[in-house]
Amino acid sequence: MCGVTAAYAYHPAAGPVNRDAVRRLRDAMQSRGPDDQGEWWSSDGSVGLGHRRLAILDPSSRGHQPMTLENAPLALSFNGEIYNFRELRRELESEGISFRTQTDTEVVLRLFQRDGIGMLNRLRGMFAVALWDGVRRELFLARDPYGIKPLYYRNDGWRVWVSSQAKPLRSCEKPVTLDPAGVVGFCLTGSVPEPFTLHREIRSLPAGSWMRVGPHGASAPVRYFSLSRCLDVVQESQPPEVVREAVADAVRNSVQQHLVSDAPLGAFLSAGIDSSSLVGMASEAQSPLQTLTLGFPGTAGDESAGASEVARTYSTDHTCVGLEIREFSNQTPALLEAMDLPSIDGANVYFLSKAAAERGWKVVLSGLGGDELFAGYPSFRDVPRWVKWARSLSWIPGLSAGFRHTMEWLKPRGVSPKLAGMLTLGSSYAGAYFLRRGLFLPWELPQILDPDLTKEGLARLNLQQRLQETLQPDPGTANGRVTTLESSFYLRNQLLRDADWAAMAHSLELRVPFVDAWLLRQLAPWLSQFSHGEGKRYLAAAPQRPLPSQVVNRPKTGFTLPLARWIQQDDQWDAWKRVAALRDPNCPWARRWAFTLIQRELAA
Amino acid sequence: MSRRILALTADGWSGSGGIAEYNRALFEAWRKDSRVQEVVLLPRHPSVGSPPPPRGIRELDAPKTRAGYWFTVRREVRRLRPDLVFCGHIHLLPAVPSGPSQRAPTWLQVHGIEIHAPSRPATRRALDRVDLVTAVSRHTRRTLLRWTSLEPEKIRVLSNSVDRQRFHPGPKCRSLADRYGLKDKTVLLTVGRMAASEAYKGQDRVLQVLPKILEQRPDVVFVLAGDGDDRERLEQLSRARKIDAHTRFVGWIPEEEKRDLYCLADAFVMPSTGEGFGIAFLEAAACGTPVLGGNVDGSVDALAEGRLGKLVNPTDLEELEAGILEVLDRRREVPCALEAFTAERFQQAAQGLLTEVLRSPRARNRNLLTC
Repeated sequence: MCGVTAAYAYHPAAGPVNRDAVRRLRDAMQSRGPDDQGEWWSSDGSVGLGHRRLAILDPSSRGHQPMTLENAPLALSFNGEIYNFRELRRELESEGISFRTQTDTEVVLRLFQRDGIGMLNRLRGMFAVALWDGVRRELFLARDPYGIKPLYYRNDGWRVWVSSQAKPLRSCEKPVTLDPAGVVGFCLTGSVPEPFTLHREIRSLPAGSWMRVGPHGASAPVRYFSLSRCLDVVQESQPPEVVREAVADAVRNSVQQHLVSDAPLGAFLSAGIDSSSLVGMASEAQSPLQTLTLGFPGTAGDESAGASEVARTYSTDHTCVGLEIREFSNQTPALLEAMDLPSIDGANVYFLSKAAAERGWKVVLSGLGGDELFAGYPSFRDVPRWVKWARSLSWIPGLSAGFRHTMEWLKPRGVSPKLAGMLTLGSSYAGAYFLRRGLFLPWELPQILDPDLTKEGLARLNLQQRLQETLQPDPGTANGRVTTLESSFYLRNQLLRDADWAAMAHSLELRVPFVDAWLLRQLAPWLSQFSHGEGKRYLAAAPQRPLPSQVVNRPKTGFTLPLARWIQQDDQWDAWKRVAALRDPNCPWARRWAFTLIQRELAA
Repeated sequence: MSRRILALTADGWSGSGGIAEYNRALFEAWRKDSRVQEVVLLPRHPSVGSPPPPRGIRELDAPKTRAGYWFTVRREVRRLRPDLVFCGHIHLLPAVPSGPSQRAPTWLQVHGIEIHAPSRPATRRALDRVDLVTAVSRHTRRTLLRWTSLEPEKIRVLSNSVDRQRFHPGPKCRSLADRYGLKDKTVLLTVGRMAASEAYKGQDRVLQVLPKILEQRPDVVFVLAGDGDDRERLEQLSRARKIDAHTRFVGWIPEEEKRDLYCLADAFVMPSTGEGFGIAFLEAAACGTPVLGGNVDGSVDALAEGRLGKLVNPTDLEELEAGILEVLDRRREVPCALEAFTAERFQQAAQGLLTEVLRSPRARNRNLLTC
């Protein structure tokens, strides 16, 4: 897990890249890779690659990056882990290719030399790649299928700058300008939807995509992986035992693949099914497994007791750390500094990662992605239901507008603001999903943002169309559609992005065995059979030793900090009190937190 | 496979001005590409004078009316079945048909002032269908990105180039010096349109700092080449500042005298605030004349971020004055950075982008891709 930097001055008038600027960009990500740093320059000075290394596999100096080949003009700066690298290496060795390190990086480089872009479909894992191909004079960029590892770029028409984090790119050229699409996207969803960032000049390479920057500029990103296409396979209904066995085999395989490491490894543990099953299966291969729980003493959201029960079941070396408002307040400035793009989430992973790093861990497993794969969210139940309901009424002229205005009028009486959008948005999966996941609704934004910025942002973002496009081709089933939407928006733009910056702020590699394209392909045929709650029971049954029944039967709570109470108590986050709509006692805490974060960004 | 390109332009092959010159260079680059069978020009305004286009470039008659132009574009798209439709001006873009008859990729060229303000809804809709936009500078690219939702990767920078055969260093032309009374004078030159509606080229700012420059360099004469409805204001400014003895408003100069004028000048200055690129910078630099430009617009690209000439804040008059005095002291030489703007580089880039746009999804859908 590392930090990738690249710069390519492709226009002939641009001159050589500014080496100090490349180094500054690289070293702004010191926490992503405290073990080593490296740089590589092309002979004409027009290309520079930088790298910060967190050594996990072959931690010797042989794994130094950027890595080059002696017999080809290729140079690679790589961030991530390739879990099937040994298998790929054996394949390449059988063709007479020799290796000089034990790293996955060298496998990626050799595979690119042999297969070019075609290599992307062979890689199992999480990755962000910046690779200079001296033959084609092209900088090749790519991200893993789910977008676990981030990659941002800034292209001004003469030069392109690339970085694992968006923030350092702000200062490598002219001053940046605010992107209304990013601001509005954050307010609508609680995170900034890719490819946007908060600034027009900086873009995120979309998940599952690659792009080339050649002598004539940067070409548009090309998608090589489609979640909806993967899910467009439905198997005939099978007996539960068959499904259970298929799920257990696939999940066990993924967990075992994610254990490969030459550095200390542990797991985050809450009292939920995802992390508990993960710990259960990881313990089968690695015992005693170290586990860590974040508790919030004296609050309803404290899961310490349940987590301890799971830890006892699987005999893990368990630690529970408590977090209280005082530490939260003291640490929040550092947390916000580490937050690469604004997000209403991520604080939990930040504090957990801090505790893990203090215990000397370098790698941690997380149960992220289980809800998307096993139909764990209420959205799997609600979205299809809402679509059916709204479609049955949407043919009545004027009804949706009337309904919306009536519900708006009733909002002060405690009616959910989202109910107002039920008929306007709910008749499509994209709309109903937005209604389920959305933070603010489009027509509420002028309450918190400048109306002109809102108008331009909504037009540029075009969120409904973006949501709709993820469902092309149609996955064919209700579960498939919701899995696609959840994985393409909430998981990708919020959970995975937060997991990256929050863990990397503490030089910790966070692995997500349930977020794996191979696993998705294995489970895709069964997905339609995972009714809400049932999928999780298959997951709970996967470990050889079953999960404690109180974990399986416990209602879903999520893993969140008691932010609602804390931001109300802490005066440094009181910006929301200036807005009437946010002072409403029924206003969700996430809206207040989102307003606080975006105001901070707008004032910067 | 031989490709045919339909090019929609404001002016015909023999048109005058920077845009027509840019288009000629582009069409020449394509003509020299072995994949291109023919470039067919459909100008909006009729050509004036000669020369006719060279072999490989065919010019159609310009329709008389706007409606006629739209009709002709549609007819030619159907008739020619071009592999690429090039649009040389954003205002012509809505004329490109959007229906099934038009399956070729569309390439739009933007220069500067024409895209400073958001376009009409029809143009915006047409922009969404464009496959490639080339901008003459990063400034123009940024300006377009500010009001469109185009993917940034669709907008590339294809800067102007300079014809080194035409523009190269030489001795001071005595007859020209005599004509304008410039013998034994230090010549400060600017070349550009004097349009009241634009007024961004900064001639007035140079006139404002000229008295101070004359305190240190009393032999300086400021030559303003170009014409337009802002000329009278500039002449009045010159009189009001009592520097009319040190200014020469020479009007438009013939193309064949341009090089001599650059060679006559000791410095070329254009502290503009809204220039798309500024081809005159390249022409002056190719003649070895030291140049000065503003650091807020396309001049930054033309001056290769300062490697080709001096960049100043054009609205800071003290900085402008110091900058002019500095370039007047510079040695005459052709800067190495000019190598980035040669006709050969332009040709490489134009052909490279042609390859890319012919690989665009729309082109692939036509099953025309042979590589």
